[in-house]
Amino acid sequence: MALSEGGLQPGTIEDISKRLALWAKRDLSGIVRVEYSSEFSRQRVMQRLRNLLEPQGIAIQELTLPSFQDAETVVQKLIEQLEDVAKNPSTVASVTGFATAFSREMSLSEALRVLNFNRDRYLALPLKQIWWMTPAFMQTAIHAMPDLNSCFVQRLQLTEGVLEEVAGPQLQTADGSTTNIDEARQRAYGLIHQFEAAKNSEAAPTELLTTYVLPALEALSEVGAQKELRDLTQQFEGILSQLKATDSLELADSLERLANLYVEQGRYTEAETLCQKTLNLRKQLLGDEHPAIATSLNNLALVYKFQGRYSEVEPLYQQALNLRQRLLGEAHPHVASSLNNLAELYRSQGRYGEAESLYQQTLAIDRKVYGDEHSTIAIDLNNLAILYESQGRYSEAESLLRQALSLRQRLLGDEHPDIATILNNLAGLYTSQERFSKALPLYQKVLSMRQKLLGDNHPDVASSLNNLAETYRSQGCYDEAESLYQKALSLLQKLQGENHPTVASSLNNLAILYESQGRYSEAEPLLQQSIYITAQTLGEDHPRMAIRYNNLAGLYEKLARFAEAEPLYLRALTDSYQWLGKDHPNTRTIWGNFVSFLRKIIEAGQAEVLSDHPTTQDLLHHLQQD
Amino acid sequence: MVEYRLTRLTSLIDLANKLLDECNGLLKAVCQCQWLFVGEDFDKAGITTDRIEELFITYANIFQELRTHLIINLPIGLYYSDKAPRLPFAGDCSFVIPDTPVYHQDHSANETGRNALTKVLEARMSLDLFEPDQMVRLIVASGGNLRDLFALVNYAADTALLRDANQINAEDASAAIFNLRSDYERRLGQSPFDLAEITYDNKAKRLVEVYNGATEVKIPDRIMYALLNARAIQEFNGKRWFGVHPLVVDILADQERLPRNPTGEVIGGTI
Repeated sequence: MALSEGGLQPGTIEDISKRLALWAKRDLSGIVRVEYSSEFSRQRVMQRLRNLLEPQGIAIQELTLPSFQDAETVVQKLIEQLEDVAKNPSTVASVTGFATAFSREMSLSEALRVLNFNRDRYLALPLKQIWWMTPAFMQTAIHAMPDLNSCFVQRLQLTEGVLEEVAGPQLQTADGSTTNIDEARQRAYGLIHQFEAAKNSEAAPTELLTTYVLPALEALSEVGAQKELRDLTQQFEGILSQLKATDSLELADSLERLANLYVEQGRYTEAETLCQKTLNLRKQLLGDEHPAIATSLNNLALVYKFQGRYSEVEPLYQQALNLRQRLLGEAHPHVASSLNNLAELYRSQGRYGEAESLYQQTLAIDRKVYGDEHSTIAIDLNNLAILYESQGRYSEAESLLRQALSLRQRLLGDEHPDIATILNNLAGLYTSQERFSKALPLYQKVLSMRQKLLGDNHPDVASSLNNLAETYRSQGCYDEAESLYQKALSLLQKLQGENHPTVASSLNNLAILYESQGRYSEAEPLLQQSIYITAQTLGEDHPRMAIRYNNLAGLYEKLARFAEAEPLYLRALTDSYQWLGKDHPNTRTIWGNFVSFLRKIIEAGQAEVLSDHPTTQDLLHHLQQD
Repeated sequence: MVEYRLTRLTSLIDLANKLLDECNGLLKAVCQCQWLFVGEDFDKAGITTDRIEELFITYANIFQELRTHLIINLPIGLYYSDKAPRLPFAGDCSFVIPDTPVYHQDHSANETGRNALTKVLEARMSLDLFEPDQMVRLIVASGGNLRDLFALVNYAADTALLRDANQINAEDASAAIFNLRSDYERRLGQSPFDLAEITYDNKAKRLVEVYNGATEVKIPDRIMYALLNARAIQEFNGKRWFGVHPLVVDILADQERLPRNPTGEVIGGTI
């Protein structure tokens, strides 16, 4: 495994900065194309480039293309901006925003033909230009503007990601719950009451299941009332086992509903068995080429995703997508949903370029199917915005979230849980940019909206308390943060029981607060408990375990308990590498932490406390040579 | 004012021919010359692909019936498309401006082409800036495309400068070749201009056939057009033959679709 900033590996921030500097010092004009996925990395390149060029008297001016314009307007605006920069000799123009510049009225490939045709106009300008393009945009550009592509004097790829913090506010990618917890409880217990009456009148077991038991459990599941859901599921285990034994196709839907309920409760192995059974049942009775098979494949993939078995998820999602495309055509809402699932997976794996292309395809299909004024479009815009945020493309993310918000306000009015979700995500975006004064009032608004609409005892309320706490912590307001973290934790323990992954996350967050305050002895048991619950509920092999180990290792590092920290870092690294891949932001973060840990040990002259693990020793050797 | 509608195209051509005859007659009387018209920029902004196709295919008779000399600079996307056989230009009047060949069809080195490219570089830089053999490696990797060649040399030279060296060595050249290769990998993917989805497997099979010199590939189909448009396959004039771009040959060898020799090289690929 290579060091992320070692030497001058191709595609690193240092490599690209220095290449751009050489070019800018040498050439008088021309265009360089740089492909990038992470805006954070791009900004670092720009910063370094400024430092390298400043002594030579070369300035840089950043230009952003307007959003969603027709191709002629984009070209005109681009030329106007470039001409303006060209008035100052020795200035480099850095152009971004290609991916969102073109209106969707015309296909991107047609729009790029216009960009391509006007190439002589940009090339004739007496200035140096850097054009930044994302991989998804490049995929079309490479075919649609072959002449312009040839004119790029350098074609570089910035592949290095930037280390990110492991802990952060909890975002919701699509929708939160829309149901008030008290109403849901009332509905669930009403159904159970009716179940008793139906049972006494000797209704068939399948009818009892599908009409009363499953809807009651689903009502509790929808509002995240985990503890009651678990209790009630146990109460009906007898009748549910009859369902599990069924071989009837009619009951396949019910089996899947039960599988989803098990997923909600973290009973993944049982859920997997049920999903497999449904899939086999449907294959036997319907054949391989049936839309219901795609649904089964998706459900099974979802179970694997929760278990962190990402390598098994992708082929299933792909199969479901291919099947739906074959059976339903390219422009079908189920195809869009499959594309979205894959995009979510890629985003969670840090494969941003691939995710962007799929999110955009999803949006294009949904626009075709539903038109522009539909709640599905708001979800699509929201999801694309979350991706852009992960990439650090903040202004594009904000523009999409604001579009989604105004669309939802037009459709739902101002007071709706879905509005709260978008506002929550907008606040999360501000937090990522450290614009806390904008984030804080939004988070407060979301909290009060959720309390009013969903009830005080709802998991989304806990999530809001956590986000608010996170914002206070980031600003150093530790007292406010602690009180909110504790409220979130006790609410989650009450709703979901002591042993639940979200409770583990909540303990982790509180521990990080204590660590920020130097309250190490209070942080340690919380991190240990968080590791224990995560292992119990998600399994030892879940990617989240890597984050947990990393955080405890960080604490031990601060306490100078180096010998205890090293195996935890190694475990975190191995797990993250194995489950998420070497390029995932989490793997890079852990790797960066381990490198800085070893540097600290070298400086402290305590290398002898380290083990003879080959990764440790190789890296140590490398760092000692630097 | 006479309104010319498509239904009266014949009348319009007749009228145009009368005008052309008169113009040619006048020019001939003055300087013994005739008019030559050059048509280009058909891929100009604002003219959609459909309209260009309509002009050259649906109304192809315009070009056949006008009594004058015409040179039409055709968008390559149209020339390399299913519609190409319906274009109104005879085979002996159609020319492609090709890249300079760096290999012969039998994969032996094309020294004439390589020397020509060396002269192009020599006119712009001192060849002493290359360690022995490195310049020819970059020439071969460019597939004879001048702009690609300049991009390769720029990248390799900057790599050398970044390690404070005065000459481009083997590693610098390899880094440049690797960097350009990703563009070619991308070009092998589905293009938005392909009318139907063409799987990579089908493309790879065709590339191997072209590499092996199969004669039937001279009759193009949609797979061949996609590969020509992507510049994965290069068309050369003269005896008219097709070759696989050296970077694409490397890609195929890495996928074990083409064999490497014991030293790890694939014939016709980069060196």
